[in-house]
Amino acid sequence: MKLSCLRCGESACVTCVEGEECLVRRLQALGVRPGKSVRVIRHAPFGGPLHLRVGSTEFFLRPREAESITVKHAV
Amino acid sequence: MARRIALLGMPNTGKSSLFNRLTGASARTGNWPGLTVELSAAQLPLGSDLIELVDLPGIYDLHGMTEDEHVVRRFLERVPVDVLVVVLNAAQIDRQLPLLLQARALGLPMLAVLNMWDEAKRFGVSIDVDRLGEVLGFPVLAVSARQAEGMGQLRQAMAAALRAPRPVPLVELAKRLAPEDGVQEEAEALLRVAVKTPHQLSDRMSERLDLILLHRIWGLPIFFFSLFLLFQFIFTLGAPLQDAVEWALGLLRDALQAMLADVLPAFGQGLLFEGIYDGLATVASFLPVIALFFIVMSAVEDSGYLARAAFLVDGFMARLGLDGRGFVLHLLGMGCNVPAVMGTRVMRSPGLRALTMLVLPFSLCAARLQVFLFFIAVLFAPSQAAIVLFGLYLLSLLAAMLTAWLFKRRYNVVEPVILELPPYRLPVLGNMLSAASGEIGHFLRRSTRFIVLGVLAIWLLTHLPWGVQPAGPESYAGRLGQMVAGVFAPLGFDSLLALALLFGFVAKEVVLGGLAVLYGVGEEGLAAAVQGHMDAVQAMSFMLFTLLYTPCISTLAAIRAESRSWRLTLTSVLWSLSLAYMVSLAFYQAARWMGF
Repeated sequence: MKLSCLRCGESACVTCVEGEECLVRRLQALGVRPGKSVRVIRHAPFGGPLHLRVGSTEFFLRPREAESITVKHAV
Repeated sequence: MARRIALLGMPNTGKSSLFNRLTGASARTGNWPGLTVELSAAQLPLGSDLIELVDLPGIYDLHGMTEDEHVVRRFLERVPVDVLVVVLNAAQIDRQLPLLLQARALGLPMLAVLNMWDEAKRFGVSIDVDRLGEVLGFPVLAVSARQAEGMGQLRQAMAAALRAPRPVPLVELAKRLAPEDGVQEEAEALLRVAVKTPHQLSDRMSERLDLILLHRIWGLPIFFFSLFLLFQFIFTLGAPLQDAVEWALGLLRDALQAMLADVLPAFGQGLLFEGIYDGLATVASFLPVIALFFIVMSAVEDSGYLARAAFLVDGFMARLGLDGRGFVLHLLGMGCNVPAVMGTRVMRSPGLRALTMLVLPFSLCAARLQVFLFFIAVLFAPSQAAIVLFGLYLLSLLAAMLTAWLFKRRYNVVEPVILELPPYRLPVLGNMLSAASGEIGHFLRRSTRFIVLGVLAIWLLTHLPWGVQPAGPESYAGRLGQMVAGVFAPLGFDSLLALALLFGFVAKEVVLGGLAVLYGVGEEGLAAAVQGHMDAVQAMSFMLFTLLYTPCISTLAAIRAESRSWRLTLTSVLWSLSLAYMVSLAFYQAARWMGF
């Protein structure tokens, strides 16, 4: 499923990062790679960005960019 | 030739703070990914040599395609570097090793610096530094640049690395870089042998603060209220300091005048004291407030709150065609618009950059602040001062939003917005002061020339041709004023105010000094002169116009240089002039119609 399906506070395991090359590189550099766990901390107001944490790095990205990250629930 | 050491690292690794610690210089440091957009370099003594230290822009990836990544590759290919120091955020080592391994493939003598060591400890990340160094084959050091820990060791290690023979120049850099897949696997292997991270990483303090400061409903009101409190603080503390400086400068003027009374002819004295000295003194008296502003601003930037502000407003900014970074640049532009315009380099899409550059000059900069502080102090009660000033800041935001909304169709763009949210950090006083003194130095260097030339030009225009009544209708200034008076009369400006605005085009700093010269009074007399020449409605209209009208020449030069477009530069001038005219006209006529 897409990352955007996660509710606030939920974690999941990244299975795939795809899209424009620049975006993918940037996400990889921030630690978003297949096999890593990502947590959605909160959504910003006005349909704004998602606040995420991967490892010890926190960052935000817009819902549109979140579409390029596919995740599955950790078993 | 001096030997050269370059600092390389990802954004938000404290690379610039480290640079400042090592050099004592104050390149701008920011808790904000990619802010260091110009290459700052400084000479520093190391052992017995003088070396050059270069702070490269923060990048994520040597293969990357952003402008900063091109800059770094171009730099490494063209400029010989003797030692490459790679700076890593120790707390985020889990994702920062690939860049280090990419850099190792270049074959330069290297050092790895694990910065923010104190933060890593706080988060429970433990790193076996010696083991890491053994496997990598070059020295690895743990430091904290913010707390000035480990700096001596780092200097020694840099000096030792310089003893290696000079490396051969890097040609065809791309070919030297290791293939990427290998790098990721090697990084994972390194992490397994040398790094222990707790299962659930947490920074409780940042989490708790975020619950409040990033609250869905209260987050934004809290942010604006904090800004308001900061302005109140600056104003309350700054006003008495300002009085003190004015008083001291007045004493100095009297003493100097007494000394030169017999030496200089009257014309020379007038030029020197009423022209240059009064102009400079007016500006100097605002330095305490401007210094406070920069100190406070650098603390906010350092604390990690600015990145959060970008998070909170991004959804809203997206509707205006901008993003959260634009908002933060707007806040930074309150120091000076020029670095903010240069800061748009972090954006890749030309359309987004253009739109942001069009919006930034509406940010209420220190030069305009100076004009407003003066008028507010003269015309409003102290209890109202902070509110009026805050209103002007809000208006500058509204003008920016209106501009973005109107022009977004012309520069329609989509760019991925990804921004790091660093943990909250307590600002360090020394860092605040050095950042602020760097900013003030920059502000003075940039503006003094404009101010002196501007004030001098005004004095000459008001006192020539020879023998006319100063600033009277016969002087050049008077004639110029009459030419434009008709245009400005509906806004409530007389010919002298119109002239001051005309000179303010050079630099807004000139407006006040110019007014003092135009009214033929010293800087102490300006308050009384202003009260005698205009009422509150006129003054408000004048402030509105000053807030919105054309960016100063330095800002325009920056816009032209960054956008390489005369069209955008001209659009900026014409749009802001028309907006200023319309707003002042509407305000003045409405206020008069309502009987004020």
